[in-house]
Amino acid sequence: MLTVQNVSKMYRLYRRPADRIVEAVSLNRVARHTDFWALQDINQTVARGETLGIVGPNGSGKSTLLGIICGVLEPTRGRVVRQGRVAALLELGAGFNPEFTGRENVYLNGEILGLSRAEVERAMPEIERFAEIGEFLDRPVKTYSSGMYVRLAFSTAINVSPDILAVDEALAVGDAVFANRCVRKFEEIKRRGVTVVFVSHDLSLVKLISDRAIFLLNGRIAAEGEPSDVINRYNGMVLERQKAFAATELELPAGVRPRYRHGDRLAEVSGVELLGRDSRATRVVESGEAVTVRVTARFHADEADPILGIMIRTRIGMDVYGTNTLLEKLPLGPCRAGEAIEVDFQFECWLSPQEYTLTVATQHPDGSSHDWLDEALAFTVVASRFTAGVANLRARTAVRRVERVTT
Amino acid sequence: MTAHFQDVRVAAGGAEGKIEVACQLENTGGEVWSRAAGYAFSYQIFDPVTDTLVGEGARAAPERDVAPGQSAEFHLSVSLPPEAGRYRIFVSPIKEDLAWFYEKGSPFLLIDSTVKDGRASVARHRVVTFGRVRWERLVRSLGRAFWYPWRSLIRHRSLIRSMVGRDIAGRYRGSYGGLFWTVIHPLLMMVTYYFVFGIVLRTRFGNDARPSSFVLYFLAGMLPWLAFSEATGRSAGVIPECRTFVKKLVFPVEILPVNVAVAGLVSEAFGAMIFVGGLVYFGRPFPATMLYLPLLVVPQILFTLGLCWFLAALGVFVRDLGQILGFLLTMWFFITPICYPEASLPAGWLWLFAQNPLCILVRGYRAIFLEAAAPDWGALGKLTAVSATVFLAGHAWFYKLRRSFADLL
Repeated sequence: MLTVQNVSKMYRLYRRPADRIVEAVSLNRVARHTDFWALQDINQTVARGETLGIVGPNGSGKSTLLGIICGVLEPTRGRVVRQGRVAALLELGAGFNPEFTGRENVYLNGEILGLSRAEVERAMPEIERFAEIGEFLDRPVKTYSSGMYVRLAFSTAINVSPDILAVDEALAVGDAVFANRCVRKFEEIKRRGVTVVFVSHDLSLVKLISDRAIFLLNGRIAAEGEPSDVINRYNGMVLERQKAFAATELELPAGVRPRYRHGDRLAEVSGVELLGRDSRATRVVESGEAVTVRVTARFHADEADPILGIMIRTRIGMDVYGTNTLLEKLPLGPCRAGEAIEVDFQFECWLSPQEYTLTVATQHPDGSSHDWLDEALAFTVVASRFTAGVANLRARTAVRRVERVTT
Repeated sequence: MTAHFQDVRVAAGGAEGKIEVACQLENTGGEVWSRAAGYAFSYQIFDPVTDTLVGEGARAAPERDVAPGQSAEFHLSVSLPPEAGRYRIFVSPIKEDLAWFYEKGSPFLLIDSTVKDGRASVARHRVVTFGRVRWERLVRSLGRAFWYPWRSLIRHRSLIRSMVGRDIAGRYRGSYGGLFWTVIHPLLMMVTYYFVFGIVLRTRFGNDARPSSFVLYFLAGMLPWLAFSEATGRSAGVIPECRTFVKKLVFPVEILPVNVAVAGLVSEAFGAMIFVGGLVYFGRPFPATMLYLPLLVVPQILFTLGLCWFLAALGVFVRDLGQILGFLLTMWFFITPICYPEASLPAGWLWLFAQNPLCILVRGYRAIFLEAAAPDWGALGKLTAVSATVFLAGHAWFYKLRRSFADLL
C-alpha cells in the first residue's frame, strides 16, 4: 500500500551558479532564485495489488512524482507513506556497473534493494528465465544491447519480491515479445499483491495494465479515474495543443504536423482529421472502432482527374494499410481552381494496440504529387487485450482434447 | 501578533478522524483581530518524523472583532488524513498573507495525535512556543546524531562489503594485470618515494644510517597515510560520480563515503603486506607491541569516515573541492613526518605539528612496529576523542545535506 499526502515539490531555479552562493552567503536575506513548483497538492492512495498509471506531457511532473514515491526525491511539502519494499526502475540499468557481468550486477542490485545474498540466489533462476538473455548473463553488461539491458533490469526488479514497484518508461525499449511477457508478468505480480505505479507515454500500455490512471498537467492532477477516461482527457489536451501550435504556422491544416511535405501544390491538403465513433476528432482509437479519416483538399488549378489517398504506417515506418480514391473507384474530378472537396475514408480499425501514423496526399493521375504530407498525424490504437503484430484478426479460439490418457 | 491560550479543550472522536479544539484566546498583541484584516484561527499538520508540512486546515474567522486585551471563544474542527500514522498539529491564529502567529513567537497549541483504522486519538496537547519546539527538535536531532551513524553502518554492513569488493575488483577489471595492480600500485609508489628521499636526498631516521631502516620507517608512516589520503581524495567526488545511485535508485547514500573509506583501508592492508615483506627481508623482529594496532586503527577509521562524510556532502555543493583537495592533501603529506624524520621539523614549532592527527598515527605505527614500544597513550586518547567527534559531526553534516543531493545533481 502506498499513500501520497498533499505532496508538493518546489525547485529553486537560479540563473547562474553564482547566485546560489550569493544567497547562501547572505543567509537567505538576498533572494536570487525563482520558485518553480514541479508538483502541487498531489493526493493518491494506491491499494495493495493495484496498478496506477501516470500520463502527461513532458515536463508535467511525472518523473518527479515517481521519484518522490520511491523516496529518491524529498517532497517540499507533504509526505509519502510506503508499506514494504520499494523496487524502482527509474532509469535503464541504473546501478549497473558496465564492467561486471549481468549475474554480478543482479547480485549487487538485489543487495541494494535490501535482499540478502541467499535471497538473491533463490530468485536467480527465475530472473534468468524471465530475462532470457542466455549466456550473456555471464558477460560484462557493457556488451549488452539496450534490449538486453532492460530485460535484465526489469527481470531483477520484479523477481526480488517487492511490495511496491515503480517503473518509469522502462518498457519502451524491449521488443514486442518481451513487452507482451511484461504485461503478463504485471498481471501476475498484481495477483501477488504488489502495488505498481508506472509512468508511460505508451497509452495503450496504460490502458492495458493499469486499474486507475492519473493525468498530470503542470504539476497538478488534471484528471484521474478509469484509464480510458483519463486517456481521453489527455488526448483532448494533446489535440488542443497541436491545434494551437499549427495555428502559428501558416498553411498547415489544424492539428497536422507532417514530418515531410512535398509536391507541386497545384492542389493542397488543407485539413486532415481522424474522427472516432462519436464523429469527434480523436487520437486514440479502440481496436475495431469505426473511424473516419476526413481529408480536405483545395485546388489552385483545374484538375481533370485528381486522386486523394491515405496510408497508415507503424511507428517504425512499415506500411500497414493504404488506399486512394482511384483504388476505391471514386472519381473526384473534374475539379476547378478554387474549389475544395472533402473525402471521408470510413473503416473499422482492426489494428493491434500500438502507435500509428497517417500519411495523406493528393496526386495527379500519373501518381506525381500535388501535396504529400508524410505522417501528418499520429494516433494510438488501444485494446483491452494485447495482440502481437499489426493486424487484429480476432481469432476465435477453441480447444478440443484429441487424445486422452486413462489411468 | 501574540495570543494567550486559556481554557483549552481538546477532544478526539466525534466524527472519525476528527479532533475538536475549543479555547479562549486573549489578544495580547497590538492590533484588532478582525475578519476583514484577514485574522483567523486555523491549524497545520506536520509529519512528526521529518517535520514536513502535510496539510493545512480551513480557517475559523473570529465572530466579532477582538480588540487588544479582549478574549474570544474559538472552535476548530481538525480533520486528519485517514491514513494511519502519527501527526503533529499546530493550532494557532493566523493573519492571512502575512504569517502564522506561532512563526512570530506567539504561544500556540501543539497536539500530538495518532490515526489508526481511520480514528484519531490525542496523545498529548500543550501550549508552547515555536522556539521551544525548535529546541526539542534540536535535542532530538542530537540524539539521532549519536545513534544514526552506527545504525546505518550496522544495517548496511553486507551492502558495504559487496560494494567495496566491487570497487576494488572493478578498478582494474579489463586490464591485463587485474587484481595484481592493487599490490603493484602501492609498491611502485613506495619505490618512487624511496628513490627520491632514501637515495637522492639521503634522508635518515635517527642515528641509523642504513637505507633499510629508512625504508621501514617510511613504510610504517605510509601505512595510515595510504588509507587516509586515498579515502579523502576520492570522497569529494564520490556522490557526483554515483549520481544514478542518488537519483535513480532507492539507495542508502550515506554508505558511498563509507565505501571509499573502507576501500582505503583495504589499500592499507595491501601496503601492510609489503611492509611485513620488508620486515622479513631485512631480518627485523616482529615485536609483540604490534598487537596494539587495532587501538590505532579505530581512531583512524573514525577520523577518516567523519572527514569523508563531510567532504562528500560538501563536494556536491562545491564542485571545485576535488581540485582544492588534491593540493591540500599534498600539503598535508609534507607537513606530516612520513618521508622525513620528525627532527627535521623546526624544533620550536614541533608542538604544533604534533597536533596533526596523522602525525600522531604515524608516530604510533612506528612505535608499535619498529620501536617495540606502546603508542603515546595521552596523544592517542586525545586523538580518539577528536576522531569520535569528527565521526559524529561528519555524519550529522552529511545527514542534514543529503536531502538536497538529488535536486542538485
